[in-house]
Amino acid sequence: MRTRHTALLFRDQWSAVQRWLYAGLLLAALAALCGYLLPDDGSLQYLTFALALPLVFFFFGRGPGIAGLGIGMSLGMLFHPAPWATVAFLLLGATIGWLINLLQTALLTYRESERLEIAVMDAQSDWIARFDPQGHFLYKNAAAEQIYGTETSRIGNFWHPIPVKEDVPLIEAELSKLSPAHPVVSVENRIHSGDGGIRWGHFINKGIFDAKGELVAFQCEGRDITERKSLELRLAKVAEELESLYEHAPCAYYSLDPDGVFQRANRLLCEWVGQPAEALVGKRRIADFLSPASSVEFLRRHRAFQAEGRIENAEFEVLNPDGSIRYVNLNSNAIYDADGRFILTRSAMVDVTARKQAEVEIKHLNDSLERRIKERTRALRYKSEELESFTYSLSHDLRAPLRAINGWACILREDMAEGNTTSWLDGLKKIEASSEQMARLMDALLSLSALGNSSLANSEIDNHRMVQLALDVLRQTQAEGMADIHIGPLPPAIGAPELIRQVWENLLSNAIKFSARSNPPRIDVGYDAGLRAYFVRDNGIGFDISLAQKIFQPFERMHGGHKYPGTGIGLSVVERVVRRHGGKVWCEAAPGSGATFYFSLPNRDEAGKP
Amino acid sequence: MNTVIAPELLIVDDDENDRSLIQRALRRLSPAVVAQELVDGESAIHFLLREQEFAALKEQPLPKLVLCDMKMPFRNGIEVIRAARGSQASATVPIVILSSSGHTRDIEEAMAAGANEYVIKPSTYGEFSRSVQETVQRWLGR
Repeated sequence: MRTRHTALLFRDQWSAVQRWLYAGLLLAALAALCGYLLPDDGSLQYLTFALALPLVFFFFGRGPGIAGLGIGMSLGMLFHPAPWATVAFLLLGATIGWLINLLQTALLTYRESERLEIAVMDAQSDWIARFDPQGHFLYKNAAAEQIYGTETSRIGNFWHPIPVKEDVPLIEAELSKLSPAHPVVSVENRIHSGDGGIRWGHFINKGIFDAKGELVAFQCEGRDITERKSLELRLAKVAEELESLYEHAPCAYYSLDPDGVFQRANRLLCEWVGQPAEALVGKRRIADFLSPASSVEFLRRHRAFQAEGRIENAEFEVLNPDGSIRYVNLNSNAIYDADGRFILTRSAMVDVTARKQAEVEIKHLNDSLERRIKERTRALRYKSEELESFTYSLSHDLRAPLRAINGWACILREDMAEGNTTSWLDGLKKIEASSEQMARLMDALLSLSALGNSSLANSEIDNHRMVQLALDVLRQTQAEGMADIHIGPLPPAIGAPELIRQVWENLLSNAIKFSARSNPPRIDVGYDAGLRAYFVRDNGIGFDISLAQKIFQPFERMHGGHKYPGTGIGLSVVERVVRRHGGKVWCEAAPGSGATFYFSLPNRDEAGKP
Repeated sequence: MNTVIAPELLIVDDDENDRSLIQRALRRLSPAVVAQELVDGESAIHFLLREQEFAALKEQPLPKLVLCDMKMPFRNGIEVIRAARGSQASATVPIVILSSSGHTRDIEEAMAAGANEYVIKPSTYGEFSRSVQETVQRWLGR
């Protein structure tokens, strides 16, 4: 606070002792002057003394004034011949002094309060200014002067240059609302500050109206909100960014209340379920959009989740609007209020359908690969077993006639040397027969191996004709008499005619061979529609069905060569030809009751299928 | 085929030529050897067990040696050995497998079933004959 005005206030700088001392000295000097220097007129002396009293009151205050009055009256009583006149003079002087003192105090108090007011205003950090109704400066405080600039805020200047131009219309619109009933408006706007920068201010504008309701002035109190405003702007930007991230995220974000009802949902989720956010929030439950199985699972987990506060990497099935399934991976956090009550989920779903499909695809590929490997392995094993059995049999079955030829040749040589002729014819026959057997075996082997390599012709086969062709061949070669052969209807098939003819020939040859000793031998050829298979049935010697597995392997023979000659390859050829056509061959038999061989072949409808 | 004189030797082979070659080798070795010929495994089993067509031989002694082929129709050499070893009477009859097959699997199977020896039939008559003679000498001591 500033010091008081010197002319009025210097007595306050003295101490009480100083004040009394100076007052006493002054009065003593006056008394001496009056008593000795002035002519002894009496009244003149007291009048002079009385006139000094207001000075004492003025300069030294009430106490010394009253003391001076007391001294004056006492001296007057003692020395003056007319005491009343003395008293009257002194009382008059004291009264004047008293009044001066009162006036002085009142003036002082007024000046003091005015100064205080200015000081308070100047000490304000708010920008305070007053304008006339036309908008010219009437007053501004120190803060206002500093912010607006001394020149701009000079008393009498117009306010317009202060705000940023774009904000002026807003301010004017607000000011125009001022009325006695509504004397305050507040505006947030930017201003040009005195240092050339731009600041944000919050302004409270008060209209001051006279008794008639006329605007006489308005006062503007501004406050710097630049920091707050920039924070607000940054916050708003961050919030906007967050919102954008939430809305346009590549995963589905949403929040659910404790009942599983949507409280929020981003764009992707809305897209997934085919509903706008307004149709979801507060109205629909997430379970409405899950597959039945997932829905049950979700409700089960949602309860546990409220207590545990977390779901991690759970897999659910979301129903697309078209009813198809979208596989999602869910992560969720629980939000609790201050009392620890669950209020909301914060959940994110990621679409893993593509991954799922890839997994299924991979599994499918793996399965099919495994299946193909198994098939190939089986085929290879079959081939390798076949090859093994083949070489095994080759060594066995080719060696026997070779040994016989060599043996009989040696025997003949020995017998010739000894002159023994009995064995010659027999020996030569044996050699002939063995070499023929070997030749037959060679031919059969060649035809069998050729079967594995040739590709199949796919022409329509007239099985009747095939059977006739086979029988023609057999009639020429078969040593035994022909059986009674009955041929039923034979539907056509698709395949390689030469090979199918071979099948018929081999089966018929066996049937003729093994039924030759029956009486009478009979063979039935036909097609079993129920089994979808061709058959050749004989009433021959048959065989034990438990051995049926072996008879289709090369060189396996049921019956001894001495009774039923053969290469042991015929049925292998049948089996191979039929298998290569995609058909099957099997047999029914019992010892002594004949045998039936069945085989299936693809027809026109089935051709091409494996 | 049935004979009242109990043979010392039984030949089981489906190959007529092999049977003839074996018989000739035996005759060359010793004309006194009496050999019975059978053409398949099933009749060999009946013979050794004195069953069915051979039931009449019940009181006759079993042969001192069986020369048996491996691969035959109906019942093969392995089955003959198993059947023979399954009966107390024939459990100790020496059975020698004479086979064209030199396959390890066949040899192991035959020995495991109880064959006393496994002889691979040589392809030439000279070797075959010698091999049969040596085998018979080994087992019959001639």
